[in-house]
Amino acid sequence: MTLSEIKKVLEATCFTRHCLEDKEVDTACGADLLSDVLAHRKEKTVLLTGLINPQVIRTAEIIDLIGVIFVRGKVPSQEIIDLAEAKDIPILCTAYPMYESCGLLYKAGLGVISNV
Amino acid sequence: MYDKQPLPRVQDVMTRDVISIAPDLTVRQAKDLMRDKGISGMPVVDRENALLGVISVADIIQAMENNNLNAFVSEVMTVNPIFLHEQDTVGYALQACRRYKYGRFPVIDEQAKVVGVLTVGDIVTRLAQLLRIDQVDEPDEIKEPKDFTTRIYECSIQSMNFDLAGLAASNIKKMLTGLGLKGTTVRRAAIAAYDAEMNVVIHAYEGKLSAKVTPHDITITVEDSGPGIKDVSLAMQPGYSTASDRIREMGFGAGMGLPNIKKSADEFTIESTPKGTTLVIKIFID
Repeated sequence: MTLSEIKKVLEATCFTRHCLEDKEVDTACGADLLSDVLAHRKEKTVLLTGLINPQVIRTAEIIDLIGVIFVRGKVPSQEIIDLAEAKDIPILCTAYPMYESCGLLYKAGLGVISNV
Repeated sequence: MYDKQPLPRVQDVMTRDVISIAPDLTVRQAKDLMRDKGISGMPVVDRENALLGVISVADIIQAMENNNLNAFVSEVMTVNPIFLHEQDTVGYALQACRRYKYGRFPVIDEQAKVVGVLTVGDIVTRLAQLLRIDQVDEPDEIKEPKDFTTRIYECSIQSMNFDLAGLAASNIKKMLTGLGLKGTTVRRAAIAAYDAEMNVVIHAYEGKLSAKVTPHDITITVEDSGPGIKDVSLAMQPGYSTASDRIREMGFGAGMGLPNIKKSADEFTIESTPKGTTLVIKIFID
């Protein structure tokens, strides 16, 4: 699935100038705890989170996330957007809450890849 | 924000002297122009300089094979070409180069007018200049190695400073990527460094992170000045955390830090006394 398809499924808005919407995504990680995110070892992952602070972007940078999706209609601050743009990490925002966001993506075919 | 210098943008690097061609000229004219100017492709623009397509040597060869040199440029050009905006970062442009395997991109401004062309050569030339400027303005914390195969990075870590938290891990990641190490190795080192750095920020008074990279392994050492971990074996259990509610609100304190570090490392030792904790994380480079 690509980031642009994810954007469509979640009726999301892109908050960064570069959305790199044709980026391929293999799986997603839904978490509000960054250490849980860091424990996620899969490539080509997007993060769905209700946590909204600059450390989310730093974490995304460290583990090479394809993009960050803020759920439940939360809107990132300019500081977060600036950091994401500097690190080339697209930000999407959706009004769906976490459970529904994950469910919609799963139903649309964004599954779980087995641990290597 | 710790990035003192703005990231280089496409407009800082691109060639502004654009050789372009009109769609209603012939492929033969395009071929002659490209030969004259010694270029292997160019944007096709309308009278307002808006981007219509690109024409490359490959398009011209194909036209020659089809005996079609008298066709209009508009008939053989690639329409909907991949382009860059002048405000795009050079990093983004490099990603585009890798992704699309093109060596040249038209650059457009906000009105979709062609204002430049960016080639991989432009990036290499200008980045070399920019990097030299960087080193003067912002002394890098990477020490000049005596032995060119070993790199050392050191960074102090301040307790509860969440503005700078993650900087050391980010710099280590940059350094390792720059050395051309495998993505999975870089990621393991970055995750271990980040978790260890966050542990100091959250739990310790102050600390120091150092990373030593040889062609064989990466050693990340994180030392802090206390108060130490009361029960190390408990702290190694996934989910065990002593972080405050405030820390948890920021998304930390999942109790996955030390287990994560151990999982990322090939060798991991931890020593803790009330005077401080030292982690040594070793990751082998294959």
